[in-house]
Parts: sequence; structure tokens; C-alpha cells
Amino acid sequence: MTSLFAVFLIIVAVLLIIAAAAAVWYISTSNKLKTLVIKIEEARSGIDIALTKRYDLLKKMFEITKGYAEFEKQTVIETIKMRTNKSISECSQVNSELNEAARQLNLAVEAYPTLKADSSFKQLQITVADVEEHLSASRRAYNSNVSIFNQLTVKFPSSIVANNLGFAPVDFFQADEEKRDDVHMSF
Amino acid sequence: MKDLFQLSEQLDELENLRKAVLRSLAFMAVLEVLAWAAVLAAIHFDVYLPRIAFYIPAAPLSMGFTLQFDRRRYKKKYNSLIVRQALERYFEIREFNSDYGIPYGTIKSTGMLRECNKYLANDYLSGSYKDIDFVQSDVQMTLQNSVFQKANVTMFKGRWMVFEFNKHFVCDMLVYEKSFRYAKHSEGLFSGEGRLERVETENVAFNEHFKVYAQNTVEAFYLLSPQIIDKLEEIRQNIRGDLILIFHNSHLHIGVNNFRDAFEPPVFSKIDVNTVMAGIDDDIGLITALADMLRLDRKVYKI
Repeated sequence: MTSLFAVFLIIVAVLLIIAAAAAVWYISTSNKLKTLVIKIEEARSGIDIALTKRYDLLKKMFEITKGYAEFEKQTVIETIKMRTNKSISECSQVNSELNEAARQLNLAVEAYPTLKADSSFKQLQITVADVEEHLSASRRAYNSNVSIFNQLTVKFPSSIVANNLGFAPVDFFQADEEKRDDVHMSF
Repeated sequence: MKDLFQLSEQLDELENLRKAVLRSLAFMAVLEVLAWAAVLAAIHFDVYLPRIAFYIPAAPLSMGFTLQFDRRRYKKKYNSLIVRQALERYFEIREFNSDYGIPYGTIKSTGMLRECNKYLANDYLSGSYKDIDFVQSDVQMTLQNSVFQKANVTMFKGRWMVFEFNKHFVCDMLVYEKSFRYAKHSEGLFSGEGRLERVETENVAFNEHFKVYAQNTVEAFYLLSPQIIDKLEEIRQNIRGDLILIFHNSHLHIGVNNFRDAFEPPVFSKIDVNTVMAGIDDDIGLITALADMLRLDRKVYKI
């Protein structure tokens, strides 16, 4: 009788240890996922800020360029609709449009050597290049965090926690092939 | 003609100093052997020896002072006559002194290496290369015998370089080869202020060989651009020893833990200017290669 009770106690103790370990694992996985969500949001916000800065700078550069070059039609920058707190797909869209604007600007600048030599324009080019590096860093940080997050939401057993908390895989920030390079502006 | 004659005279003087070092070394070795032979012979022939006799083999060690003096004189001459000339071909030298090195406080203040209790440094060089300000020295950090440490362990021996970095950054970052075991990133169960977070880059090969810890992930990616990551992989393949990079306080610290001293004069072989120059060029090449590969002269963003 005593030995049966002892076995029962051992089983209960083992089960309690397993339950405690499972609880610790559940809490740590859920904290990991929540931390990743915050990091993803931070990186997305970084992308948003860098895109807005890039837009503002390119707009200024177009203003300066207009003094030298006549654009036949509306410039790309004028068609871009910027709003705050963009979703990641909207960020990708705006990024592609800004790339197009930068291309249009580069073409115009190539034709005017005096504009290229303009000191304030040069300074803007340097600032844009730095903003592009920040944008690239935010994009890579975002995608790195999304990759870890998506793996956790898909892989077993962390997928159980993710499903319970209502987390689903998140979209990556898609960049144009050309944009994968760090610096885009030509000096 | 007069210059050549002077140079040849100075090289002769340098060669004499080398021979003096070699003589001291040989004399010390012979004395040591004789002292041990005397003690062992006395024991063998059962000759009574007072206790003090067992300290006799230690006597030649006093010659060590003479050796140190000769070595120091030789190194000073070697540095002023040969190393300095070689350095001047590449750098604008502000200071070059073989007697001391980068102060321990400079490395300790980064807070990213385990603290050592014995620190030695020499061959301090301060200057600029392609307008990049830098300081460098040979450094040796040892963890000495203590309650927690059973034996003395050399945690770092090699070159330590501090470059002015070409990008503005505010957060600290530590990048080191996985084989180096003395980095400190305070990763643990309890997060504290200024705790560094592990960063995984998109480059699988780089992640396999390096560990990255940073205060801010986005800034880590800003500093470690894909080009820099590729270059670090390339540098890792080309140098012997562990590579440690610390981004701290607008400066980039680079440690190369290769267990060797740079700019050391030859003792056992005759001074051949061409051979010696090739060796010095290799030592200099480490500084220039790191600055060039990491493109530290590209200061377009530091505005």
C-alpha cells in the first residue's frame, strides 16, 4: 500500500515537473513572439520614417532641378501619395515609386553638369544616400525579424503558442532588385 | 654617397646591438646550464650542500636585466632606423613609441571584453592613413591565477587598432569570431540597461563564423551593410587569428588575436634590410588592408 502511494506521488511529481516546464516554455515562447512583434513594428516604423525623409529630400531635389531642367510632364514625385503609418505593402509600393522618381531625377541631373556641381544639390545627394542606407538597414532588420517570427509561427511546437495568441506569418518587405544595393544616388 | 655611408654605419651599429642581445642570451643560457650541472653533480657525488646552494641556478636569471637592457636598446634603434622609415611610407605619423601601447582604459571602457588582471602593451603608433585617424599597438591581456581561474590564461595577444569610423552611430555593437571566448555581451536571463541583443544577419556564411551583439538592431544593420559583411568574411579568411570588432563611441576597435608581436626585430638571424622590410610591410599591411577593405576613408555620411 505504502509503495503504491509512493509510486503515485512520484508520478504526480513527474507530471508537475513536466507541467511546470511546459508552462515556462509556453511563457518564454509567447514572450519571444511578443518581443518580435514589437521589433517588427519598430523596424516598420523605421522604414516609414526613412521613406518619408527620402520623399521629402527627393521633392527638394526636384524643386532645385526644375530651375535647370524643364520636365515635359508631371514628375513622378508629384504623383506619390505619402501618408503616415503605412502598412508594409504600402511601404513597398511607395519605395518602388521613389526609386522611379530617383531614376527620373538622375536622368535629368546627368544632362546638366552645372546642377551636378551645385553645392546644395550635392549636399542633398549625400543626405539622400545616407537616408537610403538607413532605409536599407530598416528593411533588413524588418525582414530578419519577420523571418524569425514566421519560422516560430509555422514550426511545431512554437506554432501552438502562436496560434493560441492569434499570430500569423507576416509579409516581408519586398524591395526592387536594384534597391538591394546600399547607395543608389550617383555622385 | 654620404647618406649611404651613414646608413651603412648605422646598420653596422644595429647589427652590433643585435649581437650584444645574442651574446647576453647565450651567456645567460651557458650560466644556467653550468649552475644546474654544479647542483646536480653535488647531489650525485653526495657533497654536502647548504640550503642556499639550491638557489644558485636562479643566479643567471639576474642576467635577465642585462638582456632586457640590451633588447630595449636594440629595439629602440631598430624602430628609429628601420620601422619608422617604413611606417612613414604609408602613414602620417603622430607618435610612435615602442615603450608603451594603447592604455587598458581605452579597451576596458568599451565594456565588451572580459576584464583581465594583467595587461601589457607596446609599439604604440598614432597617425592617419588616407585621412583616417587611428591608433594601434601590440596588446596582451591575461587572466591570472585566482580563486575562479586555476591557471593563467592569455585571453588576447595580438594587434589592437582603434579607427575613427566613417558613419555616425550612437549605439554600441560587438562583432567577433565564434572561436574567441572572451567577449562580453551580458546576454543572460535578466535583461539590464544597455544590454546587447544578438543580431542574425541575412548572410548565412557570416552568421556561421561571427556573432553580432548590438544595442539596436536597425543600427547594427546600418553599420553592417552587405558590403561590410562580405568584406569581414574576406578578412577572416585572409588573416590568422580571431577577429574582434567593437563599435563604440564613434570609433571602431579592431582586435586581431593572432598571438604574435608586430614590428619585432630579428635576434637570431643577421639583419637583412629586404627581408626585414618585407616583414614590416606585412605588419603595416594589416592596418591598411582593414582600413581599405572596410572603406573607412569614405566619409560621405559623416556630416
